[in-house]
Amino acid sequence: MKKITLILVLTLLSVPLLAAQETDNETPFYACDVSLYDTPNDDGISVELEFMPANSAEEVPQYAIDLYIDGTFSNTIMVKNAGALFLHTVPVEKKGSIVRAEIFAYDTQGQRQGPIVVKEATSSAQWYFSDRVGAFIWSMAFIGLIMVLIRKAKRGQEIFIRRIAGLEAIDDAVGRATEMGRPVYYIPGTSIIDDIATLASLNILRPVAQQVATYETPFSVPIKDPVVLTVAQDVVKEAYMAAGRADLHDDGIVYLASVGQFDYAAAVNGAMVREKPATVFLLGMFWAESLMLAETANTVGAIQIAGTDSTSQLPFFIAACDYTLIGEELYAASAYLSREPLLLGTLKAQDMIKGAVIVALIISIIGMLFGSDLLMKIFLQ
Amino acid sequence: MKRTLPLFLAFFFGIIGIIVQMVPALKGLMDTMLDWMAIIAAFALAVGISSLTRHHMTKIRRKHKDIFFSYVTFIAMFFMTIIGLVGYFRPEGALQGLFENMYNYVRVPLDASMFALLAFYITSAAYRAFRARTWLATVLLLAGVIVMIGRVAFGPFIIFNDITAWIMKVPTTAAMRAVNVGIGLGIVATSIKIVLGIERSYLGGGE
Repeated sequence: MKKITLILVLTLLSVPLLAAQETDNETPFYACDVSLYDTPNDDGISVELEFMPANSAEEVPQYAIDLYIDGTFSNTIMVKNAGALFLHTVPVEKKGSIVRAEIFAYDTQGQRQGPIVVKEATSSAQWYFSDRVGAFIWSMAFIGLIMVLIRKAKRGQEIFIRRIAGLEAIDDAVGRATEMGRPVYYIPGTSIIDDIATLASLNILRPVAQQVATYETPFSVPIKDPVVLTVAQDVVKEAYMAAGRADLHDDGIVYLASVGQFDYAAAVNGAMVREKPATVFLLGMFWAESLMLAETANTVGAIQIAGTDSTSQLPFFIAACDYTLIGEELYAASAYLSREPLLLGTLKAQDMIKGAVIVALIISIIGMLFGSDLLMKIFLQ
Repeated sequence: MKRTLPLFLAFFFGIIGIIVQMVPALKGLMDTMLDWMAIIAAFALAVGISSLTRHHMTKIRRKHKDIFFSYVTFIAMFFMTIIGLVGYFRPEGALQGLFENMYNYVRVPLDASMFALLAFYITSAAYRAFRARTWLATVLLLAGVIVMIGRVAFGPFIIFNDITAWIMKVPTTAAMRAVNVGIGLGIVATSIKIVLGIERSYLGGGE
């Protein structure tokens, strides 16, 4: 009897437990898939939210996501149920912030239900870009190679550099201006100083200015950016001093023509039409004004030596100018003109790395043909 | 010192620039450095205005034959500066409206006119480039003609559309990418030369 009573009691007690278990196993009516995670490759000032509704738009027309940062309510995002993935970046003020997202569903009556899901994530900063490892390895290899070749060049080892017609023509171009008694114009692009093409152009400006000073030719350097102006003024002044013709230097040689793109083109074109330069250098970064400047120079009968790393402007220069430095030739110009071993070493390293990139490309393409993108990821990520 | 300090600064900030490209945790430092650049550029603008003023003042003083353009520059510069500043501090007055009208109905159309001239420059440059003097120029001419027809192709000429797409997608892209690889390496090499102080021409050169 005792046994039967015990079994009955246990059975009765287990009913609510079983019922609860059944309830747990049921799929809740309001549902969604939510991921809240720290933003990869950042400095810990955001977390990412991915939200995918699991109810149809008829069942749940819209959801609300309440966001809390470090326990304080931040804002609510209303998401219309379009059955599509919703992505949102939650900005936080400092790393280590705890972000909590509470998802609520709005039923057909407009009643707020939930929270149906609650997620938490902590923002954190990463110490290296996981997707830049390949670039880092390439950069280190490049720097290492440059160092090795510089040491070789210092020891006096001969480094062959192919002839660059545009740079060989600089002497003749300046000489022509001298013979004609007309000025030389040097336009160092229309970009700002942190553009490497501008720095490359300023590197070429020095030998050109030195030669112009030696030949006592009139010189004009119209500039668009005020920071470039200050640097160019120094470069030209030093070049005149190096040529031993500081007496010829005039502050008006390098001047700010205008800071606007087409204003600058109009100012320089006007000056070219009036002064009729015999030689025009267009070296640096250019945009739509490139052809205006090149064509005007052509109209006034100037010999033009152009160079840019802007692939969209290169065809214009090739069509309009006498000589064009294509892309990397602009960067090689400084080493080519000065013939300094240290600079020549970097040119050689550039060519060797280019060869390595071509080999890596071929190996990667072969790998891809065999269905493996591993090499592509390692070499060219 | 005049040479050493800029070289040291180029090295220091260059190395930091490389590090922040590799370490996401230091992105805030990069933003701060970019803010500094904006401040430096603001100061440099004053230097720029001073240079412009000096350049045109010299022309006026020397009674240069193009003195008229120097007067135009000065009148335009001072007129816009004065009405801009007065209009900014007294927005209820008519000067702010005048400043906006001068900008919208004088400067912007002048800018647009300059840009529109580009079409004529392209035509004259294309005429010179497309003269079939060498076999390379002939190839350029043929490719140019096909692309031009392909861009406006209709009816039986629609085949040019497909040829144009191929020219743009295969040989043009291949050449562009080759140039871009060279440019990328050139940029890296020049940056390294500047950071390590090997390239000094931008400082005026010398030791």
